[in-house]
Amino acid sequence: MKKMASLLVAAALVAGGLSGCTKAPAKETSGGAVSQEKTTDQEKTAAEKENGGGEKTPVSLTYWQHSSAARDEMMTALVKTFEEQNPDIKVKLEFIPEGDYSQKLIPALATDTAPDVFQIQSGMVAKLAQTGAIKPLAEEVMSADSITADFVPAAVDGLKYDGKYYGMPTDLQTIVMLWNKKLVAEAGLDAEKGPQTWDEFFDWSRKLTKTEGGKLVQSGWGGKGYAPEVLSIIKQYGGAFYDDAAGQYVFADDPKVLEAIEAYTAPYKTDKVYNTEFVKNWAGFRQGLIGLMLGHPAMIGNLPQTAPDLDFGVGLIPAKGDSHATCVTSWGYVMSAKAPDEAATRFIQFLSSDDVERQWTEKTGELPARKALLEDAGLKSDPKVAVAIESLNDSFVGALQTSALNTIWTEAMDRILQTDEPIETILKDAQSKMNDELKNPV
Amino acid sequence: MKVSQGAVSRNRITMHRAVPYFFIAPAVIYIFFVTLIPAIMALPISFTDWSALSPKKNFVGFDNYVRLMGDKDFWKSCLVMAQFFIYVPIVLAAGLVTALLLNLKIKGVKLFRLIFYSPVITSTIAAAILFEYFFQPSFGLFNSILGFFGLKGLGWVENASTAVLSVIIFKVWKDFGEAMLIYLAGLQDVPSEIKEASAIDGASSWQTFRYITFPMLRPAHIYLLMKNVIGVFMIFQETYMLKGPLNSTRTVVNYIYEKGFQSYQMGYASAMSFSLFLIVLIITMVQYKATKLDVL
Repeated sequence: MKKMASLLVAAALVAGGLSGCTKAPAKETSGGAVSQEKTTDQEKTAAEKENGGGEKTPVSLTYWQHSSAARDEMMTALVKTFEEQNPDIKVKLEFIPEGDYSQKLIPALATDTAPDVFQIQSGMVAKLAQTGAIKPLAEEVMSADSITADFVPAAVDGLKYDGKYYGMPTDLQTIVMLWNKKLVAEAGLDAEKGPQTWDEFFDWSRKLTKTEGGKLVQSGWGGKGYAPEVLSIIKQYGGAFYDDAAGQYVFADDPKVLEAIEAYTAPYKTDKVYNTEFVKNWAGFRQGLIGLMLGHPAMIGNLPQTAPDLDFGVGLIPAKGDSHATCVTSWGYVMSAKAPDEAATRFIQFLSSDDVERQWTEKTGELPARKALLEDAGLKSDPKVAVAIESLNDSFVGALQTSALNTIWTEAMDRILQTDEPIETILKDAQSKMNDELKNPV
Repeated sequence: MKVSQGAVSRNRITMHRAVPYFFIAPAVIYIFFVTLIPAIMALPISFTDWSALSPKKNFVGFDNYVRLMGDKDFWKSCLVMAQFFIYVPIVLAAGLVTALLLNLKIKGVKLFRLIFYSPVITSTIAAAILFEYFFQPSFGLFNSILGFFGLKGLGWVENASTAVLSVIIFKVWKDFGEAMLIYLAGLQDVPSEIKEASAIDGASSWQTFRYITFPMLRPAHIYLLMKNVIGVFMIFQETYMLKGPLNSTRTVVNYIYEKGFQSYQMGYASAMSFSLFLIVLIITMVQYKATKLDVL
């Protein structure tokens, strides 16, 4: 009996471990496995107070962001500047490994212990706004009109709910094209210009592909269905992905979407320009095994560090007709329901100011969201960065900006590329799952 | 006041019996509050539609469990998890063979013990990143080895049919050191007199191992079997890092994580957790009966 009891307890412990869910690893973070906490000198309640002597007690804000060495270092320096400029506000920073971020944030939101200001994927804004876990930016600090006037629409539209802005963008990315100049030149193509249209792009991908004995030894293009890439080509083909009025995904019902996806997948499925079993795409591009890639402008900053010998060119995403439309993805700085409105909005305003955005672009390759910076001569002095900034001129908000939706999309693209199932069936499945996802109660 | 010698002796015995409980108390208290209580609390959550994004919870009765029955993705993840049971005999065999080798009186044996045990204490994440490179089809270590022997390279993690095998290879490498350590401890407990007696009776090395050493390691076998079987139910980090295409490595725990922390369906994720708990319970009971467990 005792043994049975101990057995029950042991099994319960296993289930406990599972129900609590094993700690998610910190994938692709460089900030270490343990969250670091950097505290400024004052930690007080989140409300501005005035003591009996008339001296103001600084408002204390807590701030969480997912960690990476470059971001952590820069944010620490920015907070120092912010505190110098705003002596009435103190900010307590906490950097959390990316893999642990949602596991830490979600329980904090549920138990009303969330930080005052934090980062979330922009696709989460509507959900959290609906639950009342976050609140709109203080109008007296950042009015909706000024935001609409000053920011690129694709950068802030996803942060709006019920006509109000709930946050400011960060980690803003579009899709641009990158090519290996050496491989392109070897194939007798123009290594300085790059392909301009999708037809040219697909043609280049075929010309850059090499096989030996039926085995792929050089891939023309390492595309494998990354959501923002596919959303971009769908938009250019005039396909409808999401119906705002109906609040539903409609892509499986639109023949133009099918046409765009068939065009995107033909090089992989028919021309065999790439195979996921050949090499991981970005690893292959760094190794000089892949000729063309579509990807985020952040790679412009990343590649010189991770592949110093790689000589690469950068261009706008290929066009269908005149449209180089590119999908924008971003995270957002938002504030929790319990945050002091004015102080939190001032901090968010600072993080999205001209000066700070310029620094992010210069140091990390993130794109600026302020219209004024799109023509900034200093930023555009680097031709690669100039292309990335230019891409924002024809950009739109991505409709797959939560982890759950991305997971569904990735599954669908894996099936399209790696099985013989009809694309229509796969798209219908994915659409049904995504619409179910939208129905989840909050 | 005079205290009888009998009372003092009784007190000593009581203290003597109580001491071990003081030692295990911190661990038990920790497990009780951090694991057991949350596990029990997951049961009522499994009867709600709680999203974890707000305090709002609606009672939905057995809806989550009914949904689970028809959820193809859940059952597929169960099948994926089932494939990982192949790992259990492999890791036990690898541990046993290594322990037997390191039980020999050879030079540098302590260094080898340290080397073979080191994967156990290495971070799963760091090791998985390293193995990601080893598994790279074009320039990875494993395909280079296959190529050296004139064999065709595999897609490893990138191929749905070899992805589970890849994770098993990684997991065996990561865990066999622990089995080795337990077996080494077990081997120290096998009385040398019995082995010497069998040698005098003319038993070969294989016969000594087969009929004396192996049976006498029974407590180690049972402990490692149970631990690793339960470990298979908890595979998460390995398959989170070494993710195969077409959900070929998505285990039940990965699926629970997706539903709980990506889709914010904490009620449904809790229902899956509890269902898994029942499966673990049944399998553990079967194991208990089958092995007539006397080592717990």
